[in-house]
Amino acid sequence: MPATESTWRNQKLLHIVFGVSALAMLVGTIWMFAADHRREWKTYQGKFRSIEAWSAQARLSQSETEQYEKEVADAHDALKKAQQDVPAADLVIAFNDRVRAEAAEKKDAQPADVKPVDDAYIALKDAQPEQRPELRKDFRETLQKYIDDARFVENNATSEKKFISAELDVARSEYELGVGNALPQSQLDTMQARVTDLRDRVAAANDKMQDAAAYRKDLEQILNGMFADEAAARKRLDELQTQRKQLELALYERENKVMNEVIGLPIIDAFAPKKLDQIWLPNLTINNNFRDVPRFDRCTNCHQGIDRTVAGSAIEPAYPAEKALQVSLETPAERPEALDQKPADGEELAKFYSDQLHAIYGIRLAQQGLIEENEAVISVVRPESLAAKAGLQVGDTILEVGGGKLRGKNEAYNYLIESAQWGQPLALQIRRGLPHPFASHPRLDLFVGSLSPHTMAGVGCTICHDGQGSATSFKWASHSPNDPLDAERWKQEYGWFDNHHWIFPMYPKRFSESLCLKCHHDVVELQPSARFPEPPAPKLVAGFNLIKDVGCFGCHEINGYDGPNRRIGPDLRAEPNYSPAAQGLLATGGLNDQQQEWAKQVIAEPDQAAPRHSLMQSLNDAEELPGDPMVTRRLVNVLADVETPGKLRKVGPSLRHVASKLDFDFLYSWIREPKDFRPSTKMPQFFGLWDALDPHSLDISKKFEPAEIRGMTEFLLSGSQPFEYIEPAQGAEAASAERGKLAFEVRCLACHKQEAFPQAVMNQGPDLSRLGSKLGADRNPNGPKWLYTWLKNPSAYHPRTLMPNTILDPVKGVDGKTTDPAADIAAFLLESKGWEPTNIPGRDLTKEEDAALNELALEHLQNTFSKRQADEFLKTGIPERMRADLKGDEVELVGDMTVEKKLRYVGRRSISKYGCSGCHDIPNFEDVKPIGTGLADWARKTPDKLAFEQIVKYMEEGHGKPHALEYADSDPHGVAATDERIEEAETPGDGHGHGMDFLNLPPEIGYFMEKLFAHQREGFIWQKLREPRSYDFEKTQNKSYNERLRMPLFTVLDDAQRESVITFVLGLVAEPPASQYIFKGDERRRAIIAGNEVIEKYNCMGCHTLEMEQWDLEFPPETFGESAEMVDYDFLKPHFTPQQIEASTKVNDRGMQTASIVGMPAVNPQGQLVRIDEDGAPIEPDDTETPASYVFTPWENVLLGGNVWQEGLQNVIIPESAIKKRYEPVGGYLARLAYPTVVAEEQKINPNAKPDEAWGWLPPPLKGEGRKVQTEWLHSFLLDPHEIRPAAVLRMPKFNMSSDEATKLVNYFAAVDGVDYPYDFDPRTRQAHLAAAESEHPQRMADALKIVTDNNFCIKCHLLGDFAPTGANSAKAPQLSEVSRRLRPDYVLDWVANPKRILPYTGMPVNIPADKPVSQELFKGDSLQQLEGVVDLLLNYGKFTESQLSIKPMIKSPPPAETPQPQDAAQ
Amino acid sequence: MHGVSEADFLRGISPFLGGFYLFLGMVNGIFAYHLWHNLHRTRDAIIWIVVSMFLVVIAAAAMGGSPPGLPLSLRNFANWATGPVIYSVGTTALLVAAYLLRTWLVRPMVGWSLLMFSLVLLGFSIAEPNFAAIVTKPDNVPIVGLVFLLGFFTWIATAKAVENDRRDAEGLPPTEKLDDEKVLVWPDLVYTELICMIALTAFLVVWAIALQAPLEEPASSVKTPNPSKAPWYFLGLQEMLVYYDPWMAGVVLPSLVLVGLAAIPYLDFNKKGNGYYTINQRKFAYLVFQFGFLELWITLIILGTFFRGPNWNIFGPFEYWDPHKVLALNNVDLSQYFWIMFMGQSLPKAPPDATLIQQLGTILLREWLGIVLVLAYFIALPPLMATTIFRGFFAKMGFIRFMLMANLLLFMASLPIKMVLRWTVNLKYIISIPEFFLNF
Repeated sequence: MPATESTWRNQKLLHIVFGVSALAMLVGTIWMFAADHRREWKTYQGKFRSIEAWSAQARLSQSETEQYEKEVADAHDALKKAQQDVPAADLVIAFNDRVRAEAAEKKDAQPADVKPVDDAYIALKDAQPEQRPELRKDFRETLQKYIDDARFVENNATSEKKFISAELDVARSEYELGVGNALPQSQLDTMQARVTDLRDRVAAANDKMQDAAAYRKDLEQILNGMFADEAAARKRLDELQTQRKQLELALYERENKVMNEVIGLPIIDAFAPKKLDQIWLPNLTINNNFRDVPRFDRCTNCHQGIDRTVAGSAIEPAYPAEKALQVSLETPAERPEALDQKPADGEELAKFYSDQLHAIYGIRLAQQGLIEENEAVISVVRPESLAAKAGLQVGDTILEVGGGKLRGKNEAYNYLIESAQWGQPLALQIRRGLPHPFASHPRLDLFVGSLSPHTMAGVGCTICHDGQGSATSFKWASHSPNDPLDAERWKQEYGWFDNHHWIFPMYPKRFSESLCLKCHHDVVELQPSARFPEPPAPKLVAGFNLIKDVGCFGCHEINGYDGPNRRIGPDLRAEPNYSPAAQGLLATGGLNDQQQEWAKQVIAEPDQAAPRHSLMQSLNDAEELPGDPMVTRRLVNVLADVETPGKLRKVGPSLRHVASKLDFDFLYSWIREPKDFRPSTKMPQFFGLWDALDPHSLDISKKFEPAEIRGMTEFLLSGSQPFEYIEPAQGAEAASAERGKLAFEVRCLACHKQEAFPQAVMNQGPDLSRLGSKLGADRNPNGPKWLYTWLKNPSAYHPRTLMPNTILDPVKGVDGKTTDPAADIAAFLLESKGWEPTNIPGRDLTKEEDAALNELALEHLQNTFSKRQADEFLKTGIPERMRADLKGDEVELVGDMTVEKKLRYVGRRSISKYGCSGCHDIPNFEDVKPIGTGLADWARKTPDKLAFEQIVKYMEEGHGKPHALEYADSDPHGVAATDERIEEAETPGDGHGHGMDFLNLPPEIGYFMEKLFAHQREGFIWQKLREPRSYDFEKTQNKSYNERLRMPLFTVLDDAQRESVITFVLGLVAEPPASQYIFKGDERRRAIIAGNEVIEKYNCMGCHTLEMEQWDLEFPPETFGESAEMVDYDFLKPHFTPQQIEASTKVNDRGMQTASIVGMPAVNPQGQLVRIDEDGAPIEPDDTETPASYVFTPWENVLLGGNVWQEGLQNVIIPESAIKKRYEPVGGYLARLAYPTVVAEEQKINPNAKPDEAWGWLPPPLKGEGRKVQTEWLHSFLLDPHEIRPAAVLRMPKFNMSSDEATKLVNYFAAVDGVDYPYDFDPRTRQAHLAAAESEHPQRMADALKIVTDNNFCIKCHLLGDFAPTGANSAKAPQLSEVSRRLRPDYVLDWVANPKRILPYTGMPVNIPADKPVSQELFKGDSLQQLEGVVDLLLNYGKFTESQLSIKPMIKSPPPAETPQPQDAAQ
Repeated sequence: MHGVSEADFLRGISPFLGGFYLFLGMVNGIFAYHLWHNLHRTRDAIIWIVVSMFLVVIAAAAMGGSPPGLPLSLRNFANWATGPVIYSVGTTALLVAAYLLRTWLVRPMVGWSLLMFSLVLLGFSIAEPNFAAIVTKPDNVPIVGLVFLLGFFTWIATAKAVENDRRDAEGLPPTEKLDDEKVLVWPDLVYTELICMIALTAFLVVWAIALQAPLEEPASSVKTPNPSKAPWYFLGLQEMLVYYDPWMAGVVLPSLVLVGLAAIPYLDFNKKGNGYYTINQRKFAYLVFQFGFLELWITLIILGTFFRGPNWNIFGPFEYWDPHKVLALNNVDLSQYFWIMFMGQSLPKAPPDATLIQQLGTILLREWLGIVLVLAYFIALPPLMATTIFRGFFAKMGFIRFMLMANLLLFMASLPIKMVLRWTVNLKYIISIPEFFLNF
């Protein structure tokens, strides 16, 4: 068919369709561009840029304030003044002399013409001040001419030298070529002569040049000296002006509108300045299941200010996160008159208001808001103004004035000026800082900052926070809200949703510390340190300590190892049961003497492998095992080596000898409900947790639980092994509770609380209140005996106890009577009563109890046997022949059946079931493993592996206490009221999915509740800790009794503590990054961390202060004035570098100087801080009006505003206003607690006693301990402490510590002080040193001994050898003959030179002052020689006394020498 | 829906539903105007203007935050009706009804009514969070669209076929023959293609912006998603895995589908119906294909997409996909039925030291009933079919072609048979030889 013109479709229609689709395409494309342009991060980057520009502008404006102007004016004045000065005449004379001298040196000596100088100088001197600047210039030019001449000469000399040098090079090269070409010697000689000649000429030219240069420099130096003042003033002025110029330049660059407009256009802005940043971390991989891929963190695209610091500081955030503040702004007393000249509307008015605001309050408001357009942001604060006094700062946004909300800048004028009540302060609500994502990181000292250990480029963001680092928008980054309110706000503002597809959602703020555990496996290093006094991860550390303290690890192992060497996280596991197993073996009674010896060694020191191996070997080799062979075999197996064993001791006391301690009633009551007797107990509650039970299940619980408790009690008491009590001391006074109380206070409060001492805070050991109700003789005849024994030697009862032996030996008082402090303390403790066990069953079982027991026993038996067999065994007992086949607890039922057997069986089963052996040492449970889920990777456990069961229903129905609905009507901290949008969106109880309105709960409850309802880990663990059995709700109907949940309730934990524990557990991800990221620290750091663990374990800080109090100060310059000069030995003088001194005079952007001072504030005899007023008079405690100051004794030299205040010698008066932050001392609780008591006791005897000296009788601070003592001595002292200071009211107790732990402590102290360890050499004992000194000063040691033994010096207080000074113990000082073994030489020198520098409160005086040597009759020489002599003597005391002692006279008749027999000789 | 409250859900869905109803209202208004102005059908126009107004009212309600939903009873009914038996029997019944009522269904008014009804039903259903969660998953949105597209194309093809059948009955040529002219490359072909290209590109751009690609968690060998689903177009195959051994469902049956599709031209002996739509002239081919495609392919995809939830359990459209839902799946092999339940003895078991022959003998003995049944199905049925209902076919096709067709048909039929047996008597395998991984 031929082609026709007609088409298949209507062309017009096609055109229309084409047009429409093309249009659609265009729209789509534009939409695409728009969507790209509006991506969140681009908006944030734009906004942040304007904030930065604003901040620069604000600083510029601030620099234009009066202070700046004044500074500039001052600088101008200074310059002007300097320019009117007449240079000192001697300098002019020096100049002239130099010129003349130079001229005289020249051979063609023409006398130098210095007349122009003199003329110009005289003219200047005689002129009026206002003419001087010009004349100074002339004078200077005149001088300058001489310098220019000198330079001319110098330049000539230089070029001359250059030419001759070039010739020399040529000649030398010619000579060398000649040698190479073998020219005749004569020719070579000529060449060489030329070289020599040239070399001489070069040297001469060089000299000439040097002379010329020296001359020129001398002249210049004199000239500069003359005009130094002017130069300095000009420099200051230049600095001020440069500062402003830089700001202006920065601002210009940021604000260059045209350029910004162009490059800010859509699409183009992708090239610059808005571009996608990312931190690439190839080694910090992220685990995507099939492979580890490099991490890309793009967080900084929105969080642009995250690493910004304020100018001049490496750690202070430039843009702190926003916070709301209340400020009280004073108003002038009278209405300012200027307000009457108000112009009409328009721009004039705005300017008028702005000026008035500045005039009245000293503030100006910015043209534009920071975050929102029309906010009232303060851009200028005049120093000294009302606003400055109120504490307002540039950048603050005023939100409310006097309760009225501001809706714009203009309203601020209204509120602050028009409707202000003059004379009345205005209450301002302000917002300081910036909201995220603009804010800087709050801890730039730790993170992101360039000097921090975690730099931005090095570790990025998501390794610590988790979240989706590759995302570039809020919702896809997997941010996690901190509470439901945040969630709601985020949903509305950012379209946030819970993206469960990303398996590493960000940790919410409340858990932001959790992931420190990825790299910090030992946790201890996260405690505050000298470098980071602000705790890096307080919540996490608290959680870690709680888990260790309450013993979660007894059931839930946290295994930090994957294989023997690969560390994956914190390691919290109980130590192997070596000690209990050895005790069990010993108790069989069948060990031979050698085996018994080994067993005792294992019991005392299970860390020592050798005796354990020997014991195990010998028992393995034995033909017949002692005791029940099956039991013994198990015990022997426990002794085997464990691969990377756990390190923690079980937290509960040993129950191996429990019958010697407790009676039935107490034990029954305790197991049933520990907190009934001791509300603060760490022991959790296992029984009576019935909230989740339906009536039927509850009946079962009520029936079986008493049977279980009774069984456990019976099993523990009847299985208890025999125990030997320690008999009280003979001949001692009768025990006195009053003495006991005092003895208790100054010792035991370091670890324990007791109701008589409400001020005690430590909880290393249990609260010892009401002990009389537990161990009193009226209830428990063994109680007092046991308590006495325990006090005397805790390890006898419980070999692994942390309670030390406090060495309570009988003491002989001044009255000659002997008292036994152990008996006294026991008497005191037993006095405290007030509790009775209640609801204790009778010793004989009732019919119902018997039935319940049988039923429960049957239920247990049926796990192993058929119903028929179980029934039969329960009636007749298990036949003896089956014993060998029984693997478990059924062995209790072998033989004829009795009620006791049934009780023991049920008890043993129950102990297995509840895992009691996780915390307690119980005979027969030595080889039992922890019963709970391991937690090593719990934080990555998928929620579908957690049994949430019917928990939502449980919570909805409001079960349990404290149940959720209690909070339903409470006001959630008024937050709903502050956020209107949310209130509008969410009417209460709007059917939130589950009839639970999380928003109306307090945020911390709401957060967890929401997580619980959403079946997430955080919610699960929260509820598990709160109501462990609630997951049994509606489940018990279909479970047998023994299948029910077993987790107990830790009644001691409060909400915050539980959250700490959760924070820790949520950090257990078992995802260690590459090894270079794992925290290791250098050797010293590791030593400190290892030592810290030991310190924590034994609660050393209960008695000793490890770090002194630190105060961060911020003060206006010249607050502290100048410190007084001190005469002292040179080696004691403080050393600061010029940089340090300069840094201490620097003022920050608030015009303040800063410093940190370490030491002790003064306290009164009651132990309270001394507060004084301006005149130094004490302020009454209830007077809060008077500005207070504190007296602070620095224990380290400190720089305050450029002046040094010396440690121990110069007290600093610190005004309260200067204290920016106080860091409490670490440790020393007992010392502070007992201080008032000790002072009071002493003052009873000696009313004039100085309270300060009492510190010397209390446990000493261990600051500088490493520098002080020798490592070997400290090691043996820790393991076997002995008395050092007779004055001390308590002795160092003997801890149940291994040698390894003692080593760690020793290394710790040495590492903290940066001294050598483990070995250190004492150069003062070197023979050569002594010989040299002796040659200069014969009899030096003997002379030194004269000083020591002089009545006015050392032996006035110190013991020396067998000599002891008379007088009260409190005045006696340590044995001097010990010094050589105990102390380090440098320390002894410093100490004797000036003891107060080391220990400010010491009573020891300066015996040999630097400027006043002691009598030359004793020791000839100056102070230093005397000092060194005494120190050398002390450090070589042993050697010296040895040399004084002759052994020969002691030997009466020397034995005949063994001479060879004559015959032998003959042969 | 954990994590999202009812209020949040409604707040999120309201604007969409409001817009959706408003759009439908406008379309119906235009439709009514068209009826009244162009077609002068005032009575119909009044009906549709009422529908339009109704839609505007519910649009307003939806925008106000309370979109109307389905009553609980209807939702429960829907949940019940999507149980496997009701669902498959019901869809088959619907297919049969649609076939029988085709002349009525293809009337434009009926088609339009059905479209509107299903759209409004969809709107009402989406107001329920569990339903919405499934259909608004970015993965599933296109599938919902495809369902409507499929409905539209099936309807239009049927309409054309019905029209042609009517014309055929009147002795007229089919409509396709009326325009049997050549067309121009430009503008008829190329211009149209250009327009399609632009329109589709625009559509894809808008789609890409509006409905972002769903990102899910990184794949893990230790944690598979639950439910773990194949791409939507394979969900029919995945469904077969429930009833057949993997080698059957994954290898044999898909291959047979391909072979069968390829064989159609060679099996087809009907010369009529080439190049135009018709039903009456090729009823057998039409029915077999539509059953195979719509019932055994499409409805299984829908089942797999929308009704298969966690643990591969079947969930109603308004049911929450609770991973804790547990269904008893105690399926029993035919041999167990025979030996244990019928004969009252344990399964024949070869002695431990049996030879291969002995083992094979035991297996044959154990599975004899299944083997006989399967053989009977595939060997005895075709001759039976040839001599009874398919006599005419046999005559026209000859032995080989007929046997091929009969076997393909039987294979096709085996799927619904197996499904029904599973649902009714918990039958697992008819022949079960786990020793050789051979089950049928």
